[in-house]
Amino acid sequence: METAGLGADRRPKTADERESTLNYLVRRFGDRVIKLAYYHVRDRYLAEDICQEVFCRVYKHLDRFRGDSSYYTWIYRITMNLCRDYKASAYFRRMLPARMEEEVVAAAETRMFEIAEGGEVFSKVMDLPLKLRTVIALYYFEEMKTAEIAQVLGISEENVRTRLYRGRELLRKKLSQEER
Amino acid sequence: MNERELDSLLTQGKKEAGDFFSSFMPTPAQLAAEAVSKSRRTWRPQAVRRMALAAVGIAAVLAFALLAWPPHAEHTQPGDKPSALAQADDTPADNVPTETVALGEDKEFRMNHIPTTVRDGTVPGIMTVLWELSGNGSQQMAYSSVFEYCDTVYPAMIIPFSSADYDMLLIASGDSAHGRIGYRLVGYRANAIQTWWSRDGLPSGDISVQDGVAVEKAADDSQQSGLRVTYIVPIQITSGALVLPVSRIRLGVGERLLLIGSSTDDVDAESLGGLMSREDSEPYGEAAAMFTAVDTGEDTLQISDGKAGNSLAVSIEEHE
Repeated sequence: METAGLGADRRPKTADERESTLNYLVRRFGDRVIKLAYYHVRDRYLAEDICQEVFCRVYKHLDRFRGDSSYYTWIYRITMNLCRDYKASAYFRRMLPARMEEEVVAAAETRMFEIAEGGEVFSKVMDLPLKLRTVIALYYFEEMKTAEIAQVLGISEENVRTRLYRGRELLRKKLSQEER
Repeated sequence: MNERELDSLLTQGKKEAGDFFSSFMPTPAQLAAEAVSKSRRTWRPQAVRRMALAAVGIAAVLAFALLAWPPHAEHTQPGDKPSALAQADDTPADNVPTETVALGEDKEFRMNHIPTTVRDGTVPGIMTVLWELSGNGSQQMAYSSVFEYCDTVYPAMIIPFSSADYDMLLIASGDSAHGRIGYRLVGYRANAIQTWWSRDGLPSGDISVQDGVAVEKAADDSQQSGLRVTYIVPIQITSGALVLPVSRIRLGVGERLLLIGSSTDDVDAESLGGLMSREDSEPYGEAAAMFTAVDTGEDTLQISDGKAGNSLAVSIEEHE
């Protein structure tokens, strides 16, 4: 059974313990971190970079982890903070030149993502505005509970439910238009 | 489409997501190895950076000693072009443009604008530092931000809030050679200065406070006037209430309105009269809602953070 690194009193002390804990955390949370990053930035390579950076930070700060939240919440919060940093960074803004008309960029992006993202429903969810798609993806695709999503995104549970409702309504509209 | 059909499609979406992610997931072993190796190799550049910073600090102190001699050097005023190098950053600098700003009766800050360089010393910049002044005369650093490519400090501007605990502050600097500006809209919340909104490198940019809100103007070839005007209305949450700096605002057709909360807020808004077209607010973050005025008349924006709400009356007129 995998138990390494769990709990407040099991903070790794030696280099071996640190690496073993990191390995455990990567196995346990790696795929969820990269998905969360992708839902946010919608760029495969950027999501991979963010994922690496997340575990780099986790490794560096393992001994600072205070155990007042679970590893799970801690790692997800690091991921969300990094995603926000990337979106606010000059790098990300350069990817979307300000002088191009926003609609043109959005349309071009959508076409590009549609090809890359494949599945009809998945790509429609990814076309939702950021705050709605993150909540819909975490709830329906990652099967997280509303309380967990609230903790990860740093918003209230009530807010999560509102976004879920609005996200579903918008998605229903988009999928219905597709059917016609 | 009924609820059941939508649930069924979302289940299909989950499978599609699984297929999509299976194609590019790095293996756990790769991730762990990369994280360990990256952490180990970063100590060197960090150590070098620390040594370089120490060297710059020593040089700055020496340069300051030379510049400050004789000791009756002229005091610079806010808005002056900075003329001295930064001191060590654990105390406010006295020989650089300084302003005192108050965000509330008990919240006063001293603001320094320190000329600096960034990106390996190749890019000029201005570092703005806010020092929180306490009643007993002590002060501690509350906020700092670097404006890249900037060499001109603009006076800080206050956005007054009559019903919030604290006012907000707009800090801006400009690049005299290229006419670009950068600015930060900051407020005091949870015992700390937080950034609500920031922009850098705005072409032919201008930022001001008019009638209680921030107004950003930037060059935009797609506009007939060549300028894009955005009214920035910050939102504060005080004792659970959603508070705005103004209750009414006037816009011209084609002008934009950005509602912006701090990073932990979840801002949503709706145009009740339909004269404001909602834009994609994703580029502005989760705590934002962006609208463009599309027709003349009176409209109301109903604003909510999921718990509290408020409304903003909007008068839209033709451009003069």
